[in-house]
Amino acid sequence: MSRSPIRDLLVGVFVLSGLAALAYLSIELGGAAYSGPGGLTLYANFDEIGGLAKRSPVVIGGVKVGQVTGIELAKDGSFRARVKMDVDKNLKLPDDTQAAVLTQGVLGNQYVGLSPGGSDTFLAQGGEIAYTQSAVVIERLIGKVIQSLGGSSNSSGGGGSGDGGKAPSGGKGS
Amino acid sequence: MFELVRDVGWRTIENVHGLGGITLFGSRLVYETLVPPYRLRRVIDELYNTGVLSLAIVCTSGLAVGLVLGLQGYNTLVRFGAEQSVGAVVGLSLVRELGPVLTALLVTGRAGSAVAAEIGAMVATEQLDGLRMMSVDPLDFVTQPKALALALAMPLLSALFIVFGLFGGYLVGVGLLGVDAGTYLSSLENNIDFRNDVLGSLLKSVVFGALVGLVATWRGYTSAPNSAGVSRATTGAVVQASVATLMFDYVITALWGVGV
Amino acid sequence: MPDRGNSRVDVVSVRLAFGDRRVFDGLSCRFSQAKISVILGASGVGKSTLLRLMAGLQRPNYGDIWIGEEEISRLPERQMRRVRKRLGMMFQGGALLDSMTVFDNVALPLRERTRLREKEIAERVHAQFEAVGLKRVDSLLPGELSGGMKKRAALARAMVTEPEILLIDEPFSGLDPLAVRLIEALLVEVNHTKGLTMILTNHHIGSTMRMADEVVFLVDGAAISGTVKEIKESPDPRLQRFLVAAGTGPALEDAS
Repeated sequence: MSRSPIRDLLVGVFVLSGLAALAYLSIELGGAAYSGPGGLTLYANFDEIGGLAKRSPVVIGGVKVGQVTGIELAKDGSFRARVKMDVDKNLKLPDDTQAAVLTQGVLGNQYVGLSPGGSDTFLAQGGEIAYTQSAVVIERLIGKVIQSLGGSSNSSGGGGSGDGGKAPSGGKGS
Repeated sequence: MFELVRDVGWRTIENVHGLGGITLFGSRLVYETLVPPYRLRRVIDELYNTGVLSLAIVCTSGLAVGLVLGLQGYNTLVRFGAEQSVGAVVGLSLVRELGPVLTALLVTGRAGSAVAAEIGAMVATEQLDGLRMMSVDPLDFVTQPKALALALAMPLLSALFIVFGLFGGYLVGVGLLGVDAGTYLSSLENNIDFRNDVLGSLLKSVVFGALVGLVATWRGYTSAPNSAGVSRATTGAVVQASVATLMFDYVITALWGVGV
Repeated sequence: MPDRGNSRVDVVSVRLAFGDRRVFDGLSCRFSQAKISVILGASGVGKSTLLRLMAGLQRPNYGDIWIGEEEISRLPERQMRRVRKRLGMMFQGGALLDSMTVFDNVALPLRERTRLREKEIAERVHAQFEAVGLKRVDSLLPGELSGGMKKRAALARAMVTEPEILLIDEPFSGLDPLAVRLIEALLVEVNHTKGLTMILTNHHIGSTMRMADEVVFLVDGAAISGTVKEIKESPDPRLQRFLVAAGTGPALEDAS
């Protein structure tokens, strides 16, 4: 064993630079303001969630505050999507907060954007966000454009060409 | 015809035998790693041999792959008007797949083959028998430090590969093709998630490191004690470790992506 | 030299085959305590294998191998390690670890087996170097040594733990006639001063006849044993053929 101190130094440099690289990847790139279960569970029903998936971010004003932890069909028979979210438990969200499914850029990932309201009562653990705005699905948009361009003879309301889902109900959809 | 069937049967038995052999060997390695003496001095020496000496090839390859990814990524994305996402494309490809897998293949070729050859040569020149006669277990003294060093070096090398690759993508994307530096970096940062991507990448590289460590030392240890045996052990180690890496890559990708 | 019990080696009715190749078929021989015994025979007859059997590096298919009062052929590896404390082995190529200096190589058994401090270890290693006639080799690597020096270093390593029984595989292979004489003298001196049981394999007739107290000639899977005188005068035709071919008949000159 040639116990060269230079070798040891190089090994040390190697290990440190490797760890530094790992740290950079984990913290700089991977990490965010939100890194673990926040503790506050909230629910929201949407007509359409588009490409929203488990672990999609929940964002307020562009800052990540939580993530989607569950998506299932609502059990009240309304065929809406029930989204379960886990957000930072220190947040005091008024109960008239609105949740919208938005897209990063034009073709990016979907996320839930929260716009806090002005009410004095706050959402509690397991609270329900009443005001929701569904995702915009490009295909439906195109379908509607085609429909409105081409079909003045197809003037039966709702249904119609290319529009597979039901028309949004008033007040809460888009 | 009968010959063929018999041949298949024989090869199957040999393979199962080999599988049993490597499993026993592997468990002994793990045991010796956990049990003193820890031989830190030798592990550090081996880290030099496997890690430091692989730095050159890993970093230059990382840079090269990053350059290519930047170029290819840009060329493809530009068709969809999405060239701003080139950072994400380069980053995700590197972190999730190319980093751990390519690093593993490179290290297998460079350090894995060297380890197998070294151990094989020691078998051929009776050095391992010499150790046994001195009441030293060659598994503990020789193979365990080498296997451990390979397993430890892999994630570090993989991280360095990725970082150099990201830099390569930056050089091409920002330097050459005019993507805005801030856009590149934010596209990178916004799309790489620690739990999904980085952690999975880390897990892969650790598993690959252990695989290469196990296969290379085992092939060397069980090689026939002559020069033909050593060369067979070396090439066999590279092939087996590479194939195992690729197969485990699929398994981990599938489980990691689905399970969470 | 404290008498730590019987350091005689007995091989009793050993049978060993590698696949279809039968190496030993009922081999029995004895290697007496404190004597220099040489295992003689044609190439490939199994001299090194016999040595390995006694070292526990090879197990026989059948038969017993006794080191003193202990039968070792079926001992598990852990027990074998204990028995090996009484043995020292010098391998044909030296079998020194390439990646370590000569000093570290010879110090290894002490570092691994004893709890001596570095200072004491250095003393013992240097004493061994002197005993075998090596100078200024401490920081050389085995690859930098000549053939003769490698053998001496290997001997130093085998001796540094003060074994009772020394197993030596082809000590004279690859050496020029002068080096052969030197190593021969060294081995004889070690035997006389330390009273070790020494078992060598050799196909160098001259040195065998000069140094051996007992000769074990391997042929056809079995052994013909005797003193040098008995071997030379043996009526066995195979032995006669071997001796004649090697250039030493009954009327032998000092051939080497």
